[in-house]
Amino acid sequence: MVTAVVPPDERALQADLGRPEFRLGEAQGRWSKKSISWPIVLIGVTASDSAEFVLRFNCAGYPQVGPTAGLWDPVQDTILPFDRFPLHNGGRVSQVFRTDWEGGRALYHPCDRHAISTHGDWPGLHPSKLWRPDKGIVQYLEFVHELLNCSDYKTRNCA
Amino acid sequence: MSNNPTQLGSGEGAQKPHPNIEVFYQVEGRPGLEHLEAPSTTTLADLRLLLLERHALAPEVLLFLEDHEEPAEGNSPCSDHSRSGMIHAHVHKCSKIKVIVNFQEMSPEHAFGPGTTIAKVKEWFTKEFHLSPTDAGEYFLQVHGTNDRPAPNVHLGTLTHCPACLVTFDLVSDVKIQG
Repeated sequence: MVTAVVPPDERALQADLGRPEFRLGEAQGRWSKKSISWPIVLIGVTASDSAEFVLRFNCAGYPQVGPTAGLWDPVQDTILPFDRFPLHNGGRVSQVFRTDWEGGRALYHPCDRHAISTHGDWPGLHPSKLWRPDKGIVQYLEFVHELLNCSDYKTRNCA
Repeated sequence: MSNNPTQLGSGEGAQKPHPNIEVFYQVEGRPGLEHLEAPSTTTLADLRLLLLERHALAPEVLLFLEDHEEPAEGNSPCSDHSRSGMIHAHVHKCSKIKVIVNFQEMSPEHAFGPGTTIAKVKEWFTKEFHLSPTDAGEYFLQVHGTNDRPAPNVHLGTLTHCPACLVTFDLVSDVKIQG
């Protein structure tokens, strides 16, 4: 009998998705798991106006290596079109959900693997935002949820 | 018609009854969040005793519901306090936690229940410092002497222990993320 071997990074992520911290976020409607096709993981995050933004995570090497994620259109299976990116009032939301960097494939934030790897000065400038393996994917989801629920986030209906 | 006779609290409206309540809780001195399911008829007093027994806690330990100032006790069923069949609670020896927020030359303080969220503390200092919602959104509570900025849903009780029952924050503005 052939038994599929689950790689350790996938096992670690699955364990974190089963932790109360992630399940509480689901129970409170802050985020919801969509799919896993290792190492790709789709998770939706809810904004203050109940709009859901899906993140496409690449979790290879998790948790020692932090994930990288970008906004995703799960229906078209492509990067979310820029005209559907979160609207903002010119503050913190616009700094992270950038349409003018890397084609929108990663969030411009020190917690993101791709973003931190291209900004050598960020660990010194943003120590509170760095990826922490012990906190896991909930850390990433929490900062995205906070952004989508802060005063800089702009409801699309009011645009 | 449901066979389950459980009567849900007023907050549940016409939603489907939950035979069990999901209880997410944190215990002073224990890392991470914990979870259990309990019958929805479990009273707050019973839930406290259940948690005391489960974690071998001292009898004086108190149970707090999220963002409630006073300890949760009495014969009220958990279902009366749930949202979507779930409650988020905190088990702590401090009956109140003193919060000090350093901002410019001011250091106002206020006492909260251990289950109070960072978001609730932020509501308080927004009024205390007469900040507009836009300005408040640009500031974060950072635990004094650390780089730790707890997420909005974090309970104050995770940041201190009895007998200190004290959390000191610095109110800091965000450093713009740029290349």
